[in-house]
Amino acid sequence: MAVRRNILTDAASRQKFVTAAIALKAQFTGVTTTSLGIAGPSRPVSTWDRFVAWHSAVMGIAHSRPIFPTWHRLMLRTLEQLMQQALGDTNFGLPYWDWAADGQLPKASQLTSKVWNDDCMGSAASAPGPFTLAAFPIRLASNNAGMLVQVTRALQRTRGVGVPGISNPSLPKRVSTAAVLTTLPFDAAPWNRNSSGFRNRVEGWTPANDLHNLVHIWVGGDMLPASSPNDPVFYLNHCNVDRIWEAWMVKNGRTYLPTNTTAGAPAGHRLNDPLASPFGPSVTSAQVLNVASAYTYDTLTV
Amino acid sequence: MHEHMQEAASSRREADYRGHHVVIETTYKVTVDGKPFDVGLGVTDSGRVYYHGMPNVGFESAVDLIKAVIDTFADEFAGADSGEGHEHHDHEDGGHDHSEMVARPRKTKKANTAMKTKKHRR
Repeated sequence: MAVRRNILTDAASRQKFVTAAIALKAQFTGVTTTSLGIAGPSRPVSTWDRFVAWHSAVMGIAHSRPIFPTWHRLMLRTLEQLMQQALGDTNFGLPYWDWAADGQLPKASQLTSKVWNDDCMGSAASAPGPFTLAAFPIRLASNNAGMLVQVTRALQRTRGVGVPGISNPSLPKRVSTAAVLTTLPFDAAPWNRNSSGFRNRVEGWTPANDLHNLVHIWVGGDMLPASSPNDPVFYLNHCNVDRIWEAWMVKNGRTYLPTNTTAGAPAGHRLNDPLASPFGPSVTSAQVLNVASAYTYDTLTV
Repeated sequence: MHEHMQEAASSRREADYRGHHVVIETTYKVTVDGKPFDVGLGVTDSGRVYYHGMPNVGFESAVDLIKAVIDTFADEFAGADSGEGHEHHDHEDGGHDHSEMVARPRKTKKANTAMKTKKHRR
């Protein structure tokens, strides 16, 4: 069974994640831009880039809505299994980035955290570390209208710069991860960015621009548009979000809202509604609440 | 495929306060260089502005949001860079290296735009 470990302290997970990411970037299984409905010439789409397309396609469904944690759990588990196949290691577990630990550091030190070493995610603004243009070209990216377009360029980041109005941000801090663990219920009406509850807080809407969202903002570059799974940091971020959610469920129970009998619950977001996957059969949110048979975390201290 | 494109171009906020039902509808009409920017902007109950193109950010204002759009999708707004609004102003020759500011490689083609005109006035 996979054990998901801290990428800063587990060298094997770090090395395998980088190797598997580059392998899936170079793995083609017959899917093309045409078959995905992406404009332009028909080109092969790699396994890694299929996740970019999948995420972009469900952006308005799997974000700012109740299934944010469950859909991303499905996404990460799917990638983890494909990485296991690529590595020939059924025990490989996605590593996580405990960004709140780095968030306790001064801002300048956050930029030199070990996660940005060249044997990990790399520190360059363009083609960082192992993710060179040759090994890890960006081929699909969202334009300003949210539509995927074909490109050929290097991976981009603006670490620590922020965006207008949120300049020079810090990574999330321990006070925020501690607060989200005691935030109840899981979710609440109106089931969107204005909801109280764990889901909206861990996503980073209440308070605004915290936790998951803040990591996207802090990393910047390709982490900002809907095509953010272009950046391997996307998975380190979401693996940590999944770890926080797991810690929340251990503390508060494996509960999810809305159920299928909740009045006014949005279709597609109820406990037993299907979460569609282009890589295999659909599952429901109920089916991913307990993943003890698939993977575990080395620690749930967040 | 792109379900997020179906998001409404206007936001509707509702609240009940002291027996009164409050409805606030907000619609943004945005142009950049005179061209409509017709992607729906939304606003949260706390007043943060968002849009699906940068789905993880709640901006303090629509102006900040559009600035971020121009920074992030720079190649789609090529040629109108005055540097205004940027927090670094150390370009003596006007040749900007935005490798730390911009998410996309920018094109060198220059367009005749209002922002470029401002640059020439400086």
